Amino acid sequence: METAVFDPRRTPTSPRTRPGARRARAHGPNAVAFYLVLTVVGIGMGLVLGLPMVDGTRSELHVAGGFAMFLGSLTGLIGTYLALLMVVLASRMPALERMLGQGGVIHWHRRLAPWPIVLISAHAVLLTIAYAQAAKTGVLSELGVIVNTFPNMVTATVALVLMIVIGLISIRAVRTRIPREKWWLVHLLMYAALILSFAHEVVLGPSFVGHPLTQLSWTVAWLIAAALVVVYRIGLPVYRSMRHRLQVVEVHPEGPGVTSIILKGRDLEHLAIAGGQFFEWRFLTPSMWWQAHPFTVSALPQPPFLRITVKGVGDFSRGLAQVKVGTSVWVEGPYGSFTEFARRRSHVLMIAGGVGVTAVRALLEDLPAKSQPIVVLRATREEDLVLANEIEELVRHRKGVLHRLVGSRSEVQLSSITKLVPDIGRRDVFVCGSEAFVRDAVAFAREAGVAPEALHQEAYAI
Amino acid sequence: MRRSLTLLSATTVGFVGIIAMHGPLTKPSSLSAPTTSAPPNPTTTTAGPASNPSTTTTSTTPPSSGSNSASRSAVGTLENYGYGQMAIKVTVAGTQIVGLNVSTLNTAESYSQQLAQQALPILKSEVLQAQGTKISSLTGATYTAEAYAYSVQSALDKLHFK
Repeated sequence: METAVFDPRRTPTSPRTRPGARRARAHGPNAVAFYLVLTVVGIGMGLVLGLPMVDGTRSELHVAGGFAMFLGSLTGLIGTYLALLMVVLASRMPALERMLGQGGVIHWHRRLAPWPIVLISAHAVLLTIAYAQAAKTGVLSELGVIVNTFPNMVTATVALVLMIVIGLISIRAVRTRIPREKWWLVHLLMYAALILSFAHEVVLGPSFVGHPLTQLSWTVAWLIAAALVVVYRIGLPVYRSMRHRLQVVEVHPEGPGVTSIILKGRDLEHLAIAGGQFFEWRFLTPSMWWQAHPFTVSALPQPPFLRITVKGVGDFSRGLAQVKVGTSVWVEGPYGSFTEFARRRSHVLMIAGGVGVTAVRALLEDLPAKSQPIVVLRATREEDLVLANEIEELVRHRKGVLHRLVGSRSEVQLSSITKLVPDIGRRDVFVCGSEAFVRDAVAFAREAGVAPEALHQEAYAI
Repeated sequence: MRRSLTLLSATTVGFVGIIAMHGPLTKPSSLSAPTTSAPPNPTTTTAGPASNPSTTTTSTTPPSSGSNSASRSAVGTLENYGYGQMAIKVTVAGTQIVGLNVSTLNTAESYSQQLAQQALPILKSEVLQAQGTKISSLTGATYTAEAYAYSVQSALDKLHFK
């Protein structure tokens, strides 16, 4: 008979006894696959760069507007190719997630994000100028001609406006002022924009008109990207949610503003989750069902139980403290590469800021016995050190050391960690906490001589 | 570093690959090259400068029925129109315009090429019907129609037609 309640003090005998854990372990990062993907991406980029060079002749460059036309085609092609890569990244294909390692696919998605929008905007401007030069008319009147008389240009214009709006609200200064879930909903319209813009690409693009092979390859590439999104963002989450049928069984406060939610589900022993990973959680209540939020699993599954620990920072996470027992929960994931499999060396240092302790808590469970981990918990006040007792227990089992750094930022310097951990440069360092905390801690660790490949970070956004 | 290198060399491979597949840059591609829709003609005329208006030849094509006089042809001026350049070759027999062929068609991109190829047959039949360049311009192909008319007119001038 299973334990009737979730036992936070219980240290699983060994993660290997859970089939799901074995599966998670089997899929560690693979360097060969990584370079293979990089090669495919590079060849694609080369093809896209080459296309505008072969679709015409040099004489076309000398026709009025020819040069702007060429640049406009080139920027459009590169921008759209980068958008394609971003869609593939947004599919969060598990294989890619593991491969890309630190920060995961979303990190790359964010880093790429400005480029497609800037390039596609440039494409629109350049081509309007090109056609105006060719037709010897004004740019504004030519804009009217292009939008009104060229095929599929009305939808493409709508798509461009959507892209620019999404780009603007994603600028950091703007984005931080918009509630995350509202931003996310608007940002979803990017899929609509990409669909709306597709027709004009193949009907008007100089590289596509009269080049059936190019048209076909381009269409197939986009269909594959769309399929990845449908499978991994919709299909797989629905399948997992239906299979595990998670329900809230217990909600209890863990510290000031911090709540633990214990869920019960079926087949959790087959859930391929590693310590340190997170799910996107969707609580099926009338007010919350439409939004999904990322929360780290704060203890590896103890079938039939699973626990998350949440700090009330937004409307949603504050509302979670009031969630009713029996609420059904859908999940998407698990995501994240802040796991034992990212480890390169035998010894680790874990630095957790505030509620970042959740990821460290679950990650510790995956560490082998006698791995002697050093854990540093950072908090402003003593009562903010949530789950500290559980961490202490886990560290003791692994013959490690736990340090608590409590006090305001002026009282406690991260650099004091060098004294606590003299061999920091020979350890893998895992940092988890708020974005600002992770930034500071990563800067500290780099300065203390930790190699980039030995540094692992997970930031939760507020 | 190794990552950037991998990405860069893969990009080069893709780039060189597609260029190699399509042949060197200077070689005109089949679609948007200067297109001559006229069939190969042993006595082609050259787009003569204005100082040499008598670039007329005796055509080897059979004259149209109803006219016994030998047909003459000339290539009109190369007109820069909205989305490219075109020159039209006109053939006349006596007082009749009997033939219109596209001598040169350059466009900046293939969409315009397609549009022009749609518009040109219509313009041709209009000129043949009107027996002159007083044609109603096509909606949505104003520039094309204008350039067509100008090029045809210049060819007619060269032939001292009417």
